[in-house]
Amino acid sequence: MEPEEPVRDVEYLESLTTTVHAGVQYGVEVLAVGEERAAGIPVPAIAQARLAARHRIPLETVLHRYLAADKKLAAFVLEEAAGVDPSDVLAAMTAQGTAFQRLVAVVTEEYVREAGARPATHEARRVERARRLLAGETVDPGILDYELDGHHLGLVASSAAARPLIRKLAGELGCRSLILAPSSNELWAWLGGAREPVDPAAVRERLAAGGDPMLPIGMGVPKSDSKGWRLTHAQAQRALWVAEAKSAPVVGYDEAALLSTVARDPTLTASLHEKYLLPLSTGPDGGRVLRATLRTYFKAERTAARRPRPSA
Amino acid sequence: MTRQTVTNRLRTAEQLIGRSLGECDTALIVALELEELGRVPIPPHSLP
Repeated sequence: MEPEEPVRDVEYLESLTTTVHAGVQYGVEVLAVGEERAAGIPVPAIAQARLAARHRIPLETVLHRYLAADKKLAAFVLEEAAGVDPSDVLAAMTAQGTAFQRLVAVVTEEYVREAGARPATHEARRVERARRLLAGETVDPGILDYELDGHHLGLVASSAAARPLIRKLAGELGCRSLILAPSSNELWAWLGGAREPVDPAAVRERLAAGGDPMLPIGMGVPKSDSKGWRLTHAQAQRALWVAEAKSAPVVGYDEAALLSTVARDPTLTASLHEKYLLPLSTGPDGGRVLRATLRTYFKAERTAARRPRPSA
Repeated sequence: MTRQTVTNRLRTAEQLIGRSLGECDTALIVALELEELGRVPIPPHSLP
């Protein structure tokens, strides 16, 4: 268990308040009617134990809160015991002690169960939080230590081994970064800027020069705010498919969008093949030279189009 | 390869497809890239 951190989550703080109220009511009820006749362990206490586990609050801290409440309640009973039959006071205190033991047992069990179901490492918890944010859930992004309100450029690689490369890239560009490895076969990254987006041309240039075709990277389009954070990631994932297929160190969504979309449509793919490739399949080489010439021609055209025009 | 050879091949391709390259460049580029990525069958007799 990691050290306790300040909890900012409103859900957790509210549950704490609700649990205190429910716990006091339960304690008073036990004193009044006995442990056996009182209602079961308050549901908010169970929910709060689970939430505490999710927020990495140590179990000792959770149990100390109950212990403090138990002592407070015992002190209250003793204050009010004047004039009451000592055997009644003893019975009430015994019931309270039994109820407290049962409460601690239930809370501990719930806490341990929830903690066991949670990701084991800090990195895994960051990945889990990012997954939930990518799914559109409203959860606290604090654990990511990355500002979602700024500008983002999504990068996705098919290997966690790309982490040093992207970390170096972020350092060279002097931008914020969020780098997560959901598994050894996946790396998600966002390069961020508070005031202006990271230049995708600079990222592409550096990855093309310093990247590795064995570690292809898909790159999204610069976007802003949390919605853009999700979109640029989805774009990078699409681009990654093309980068992998081409064994290219980097492919941007702007050049991969059409290809990755068409490739998912078997009807369209077959139609394009029939309309453009089959007619070219003539001659003794089946049109191989013609197609190679066309590829070279289009590549040269694209390169010329990208070249900056001289100023007048 | 001379410039004339390239021009001749491009004209041949246009005749076989039945359209000028300017009319169908995007679709043709995608078709060629799909083939390169192994997403469409390579036309018969064209393997090196």
